[in-house]
Order: sequence, then structure tokens, then C-alpha cells
Amino acid sequence: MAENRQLMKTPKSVDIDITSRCNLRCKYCYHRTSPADTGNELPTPEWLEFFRELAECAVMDVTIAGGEPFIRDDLPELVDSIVANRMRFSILSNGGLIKPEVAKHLAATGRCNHVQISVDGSRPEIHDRFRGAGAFEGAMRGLRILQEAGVHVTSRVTIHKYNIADLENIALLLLDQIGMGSFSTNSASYQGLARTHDDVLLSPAEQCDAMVKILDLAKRYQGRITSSAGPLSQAKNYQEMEQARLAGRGIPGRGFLTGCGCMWSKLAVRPDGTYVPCGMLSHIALGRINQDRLIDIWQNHPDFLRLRARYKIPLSNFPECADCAYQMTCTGNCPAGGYARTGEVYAPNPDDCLKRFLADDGRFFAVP
Amino acid sequence: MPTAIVTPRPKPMIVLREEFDDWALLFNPDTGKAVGLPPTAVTIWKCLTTGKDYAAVAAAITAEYEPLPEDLGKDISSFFEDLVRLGYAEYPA
Ligand code: SF4
Ligand code: SF4
Repeated sequence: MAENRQLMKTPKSVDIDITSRCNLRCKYCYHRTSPADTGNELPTPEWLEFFRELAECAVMDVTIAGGEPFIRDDLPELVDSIVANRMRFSILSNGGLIKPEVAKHLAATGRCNHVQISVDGSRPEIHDRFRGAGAFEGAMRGLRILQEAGVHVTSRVTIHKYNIADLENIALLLLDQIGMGSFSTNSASYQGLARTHDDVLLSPAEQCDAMVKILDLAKRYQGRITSSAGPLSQAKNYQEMEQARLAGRGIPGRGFLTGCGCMWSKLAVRPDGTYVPCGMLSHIALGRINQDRLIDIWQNHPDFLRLRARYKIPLSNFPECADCAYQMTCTGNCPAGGYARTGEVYAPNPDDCLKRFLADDGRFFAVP
Repeated sequence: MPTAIVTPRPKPMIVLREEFDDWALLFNPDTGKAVGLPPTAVTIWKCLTTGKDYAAVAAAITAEYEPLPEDLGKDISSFFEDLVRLGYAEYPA
């Protein structure tokens, strides 16, 4: 039976792509060529007005992403407005455009959860392979500037076939040498530019290699390597599904399209001010900031309500899942990845399908 | 003579985030910490943000809820103390 979920009155956090501009052109950028790559971006006063509305809705956190957020000269002013409106913030960046005075400004607010810098290799040859020449140097410089200013830094490591063998060195660099508390991992998904660069996606055999390496490192670094997608998450999730299957039981809350809980606590905004359910589902336009009230979009927009109601759709409805031994242990996975592959959000995402992974010679690994 | 209960004042940056079923969170953006509030505590917090004193708080609780605890005053004053101890409110100087 589907669970019964309750919606909060307002979102807890909001993800904002404040720009589509970027100094890099990474081959697996999910933003570029997606509907969020709007070209035009809102001017400062529009964001300031929106932050006041977020305060009225008691939103707690804003995540600023892009594009490259530090490309906007008004970033300090935007951050000041977030702070004045009683919220905290995080920034996702490639690091290359961070200036010492801006880093000091962020630190002085006392409200910065973290700045996350993408790091995909321990050396330029590896990091720059999909991100372009100079990207590694920019990321390291950005990290150093932020640390010197006293900003809490973290990293996201996108695992691909050319950095699997370097993961140990990356962990050494980020956790031991730079002294970061933790970093998160994922892998490129079939979104944005990755749709035209097949070489960035992991094959099942590479996924298995990556799982072995990252599970071992996660064990060694005890909780300092995290993930919400990619090989580390998949290895843990697949193992949990297999254990449940072997025990002849389902996993509570699964067996339906429960793959995304995020839309129950947050939403996103594109650079042109369009509300979307998630930065990765940027084709679902829900309205426009400062024209449509956030609380109305959140509570009443029919497309948003329908999307949230995915959790009531049983996996048994889908031919590929109907006879699957994992049906009652499966969430149908992230709808955004599924949409990019199939053009359908109301169906399981084939890229994270365990049955398919096993048919492609995927394996289970012991999770420490 | 019983000691008068001193009413604390909410700190200006604290956010009351009402979520569902009349429950709420008190969020301190300076620390990133939050605590959950049951409906009675939400009523008290709202009274405090409009400058009401202990007597008005007690009256609001008495009007809105039943059954009431045996020692309502003690419960309210210990909630006041918690708010101050956790940094969400302060006693007037
Ligand atoms: S076929 Fe794939 S998506 Fe469907 S239930 Fe099985 S593992 Fe999940
Ligand atoms: S749709 Fe996918 S990418 Fe978007 S929030 Fe949900 S799980 Fe994350």
C-alpha cells in the first residue's frame, strides 16, 4: 500500500541557478543545453525581491548554483540579501573565478554552510580531461582562497572511467592534504552535455570497478566520503535491495515510484526566474518568480502536485518491473535521469535499474 | 510571595517555520540549528513575538487548549528558560 505523505506549508530550501554563464564547458555539465540553460538571467533587484518572499515563507536555506555563480559581480549583494532575510546559503562552483575579497565577504556573513568545488582528479591531466585546460589549477586556487578566508569547503567528485584509478589520490588530496571534512561523489548522468558525450558515462563494468574502489575508500575514511547518487549510493542501495530479496521481504516505502523525496522539501529556480521542481527537471516550468507566489506554486500547482503523487504509482504498473524480483525493494529511482533517457517522468529510471545492471553483468559488493 | 515570571524576548533573527499539523520549527540561521515546537509552544512563541507578557501568554494558552497541565505557570516558565538556554530568546536587560 502506498504511504500517506503530508506536504509542508512552504519549502525548506530553494536551489537557484543564478546564471547560465560559465568560464568552463565541462563535458558532463547537466546545465548546458538543458532547458535551464536560458541564456538570459534575472538582474539583481529581481533576486532581492524574491529573497524577501523566501523570508515570508520561512525558507531556511538557499543553494546558489549555475552556470558558475562567481561569474556574477553581484554575488556579494545577493548573499547579503539572503542573510538579511534570515537564511543560510551554500554555493556550488568550479572554483576558478573566486577572488579573495569575495571569499572574505562570504566568511564574514557567518551564514555560509559551505562552498562546494568540483574536483575530479588529483592532477590536471585527470581533472581537466572533461573540464578543459586550467580547470584543475582554478579549482585548487579557489579552494585555497576559500580556506584562507575561513569558508567551510567541500568537494563533489564526479566519477568517470578516467578517474576511477585516481580515486585514492583524490581522497588523499582532499581529505588528508587539503584537510576537508568530507566530500561527496556521483557519476555523470545522461543529462545536458553528457547526452552528446557518451564517453563520460560509466559502463556497467566501470561502474563495478568504481564501486569496489569507492566502497573501500569510504570504509577507510569512515563517513568522510558521501553520495546521494552514483557508484557509492548504487552499491549500497543494490546491496540493501538484494538483502531484502534474499530475506523474502520488501523495503518499507518502496514498490512505488518513491524515487525522489526532494520535491517534498524544496524546489528550484532557473536563471530566467522560472520555478521548476528540480534543477534536473528544468523542462517542467511551474511559473515565474515575483509574478506567481511561491506558496501558491508550492501548494497548488497541478504539475507539481502530480509529480509529488508519483509515490502512489506502483512499479507493478510497468511491464519491465512487473516480474522483477526487486519490485518491492525498488524506488524506481530519480525521475530526472529517467526523463532524460525516455522522455517520461512517470516511469522508472532505466539508468539505475538493478535488474538491468545485473543483466549487464553488474555485481553486488559487500558494504562495510 | 511567589517570584514574578520574567518574560523573555525572541531574538530578532530567529525564524518560526510552520510546517504541518500546527507543529513548527524554530530556526536560528546564525547557528543553522533548529528545534521542533508542538502547537502549544507555537502559540507561546507567537505571543512573545507580539510583545505579550507572561500573563497574556497564560491567558492565550488557557483560551486555546484543554485539558491544561496542573501547573501551567511552571510549564510556561520552564519553556521560557529553554528558549533562553538554547539561544532563541533573551531576558530583557
Ligand atoms: S525492473 Fe528495475 S526499476 Fe523495475 S522494479 Fe526491477 S530493479 Fe526496479
Ligand atoms: S529529481 Fe532526481 S535530481 Fe532532482 S531532486 Fe529528485 S532525485 Fe534529485
